[in-house]
Amino acid sequence: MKILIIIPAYNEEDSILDTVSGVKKLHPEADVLVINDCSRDRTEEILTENGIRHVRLPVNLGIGGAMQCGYRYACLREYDVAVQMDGDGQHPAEELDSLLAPVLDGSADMSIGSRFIKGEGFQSSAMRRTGIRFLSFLIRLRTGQRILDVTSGYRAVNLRYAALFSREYAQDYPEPESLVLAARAGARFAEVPVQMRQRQGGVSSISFLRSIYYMIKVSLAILTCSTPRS
Amino acid sequence: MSLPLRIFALILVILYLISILVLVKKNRLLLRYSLLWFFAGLVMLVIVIWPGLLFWAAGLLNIEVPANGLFGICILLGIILMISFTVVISDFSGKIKTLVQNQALLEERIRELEGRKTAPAEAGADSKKA
Repeated sequence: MKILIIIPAYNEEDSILDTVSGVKKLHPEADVLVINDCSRDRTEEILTENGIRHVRLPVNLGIGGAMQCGYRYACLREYDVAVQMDGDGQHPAEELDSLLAPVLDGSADMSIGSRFIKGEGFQSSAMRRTGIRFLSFLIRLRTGQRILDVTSGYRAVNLRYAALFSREYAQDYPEPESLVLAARAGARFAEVPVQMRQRQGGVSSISFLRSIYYMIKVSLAILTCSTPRS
Repeated sequence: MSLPLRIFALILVILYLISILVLVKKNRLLLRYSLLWFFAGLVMLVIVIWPGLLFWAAGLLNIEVPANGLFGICILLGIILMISFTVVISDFSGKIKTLVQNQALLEERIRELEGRKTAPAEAGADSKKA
């Protein structure tokens, strides 16, 4: 089984090296691909100096466009499993085994690392949790799938769904929407308990002021998401 | 509407249509995006030539001041134009995204191949296709 671990990175000079070396140490069998989304800090130099395989986007596309680029890479090189993992140290490499297990044994098409199943580790603020619960409810309404941590960016998919995402993926705040997309294409989900950490460096891509826009945009996206063309 | 005003308006509309034609001719404006502007010019032309049409239509819809009907049409036309712009922009942003990704993927591939040429011993490490 060929595994690709995609790490989208935007201005992650403080944490990217730790994240990548952590993954490589625990999973030497997997390939790591960093998508440098036109960072303005030293991310590019760090990646080049350390010989880390990476794609260098010439303009900033945002998390959605960057992740989609990773999925396209996974399809081009025919990886069996594609993992999405944040570059800011929120997603511990120690949890990769449990995240990968359902996809590797074929019991699920998409596996989602969830903070809320066991309630351990970094849990985010009460307000965010309320927002996430609402989005989770909307997704359940729309697809019948019960997924708790719908905004989690720690996830693994098999080639079939990597191919789906390489064709269709939202440009901004894509995580909840991509679940609906996959569900409507008939994906089987597994939600795996993982412990997340508070970010090491960088700022969350969702600033406090943008959260209103975030909720409206993502809710609309969930409700209007159509069945993907096959 | 007085005759001098109508002649003045007619000249303006004709100048407007000519400038759009010139823009298309010089390739500054794509023909497919100029159609809406031609259509708007045509509406203006018809109203200038037969202003009675506006009064008749306003009366039909019980609009007391025909000018308000005119403003209504202008606003509606403006909204249609703006929606069509956002449709075009959305299409472009999708295409740009795909192009950016393609360029980046190809650039990575070039780096990989050039690295393999200079250091063949490391080539096996990143591709397990065998």
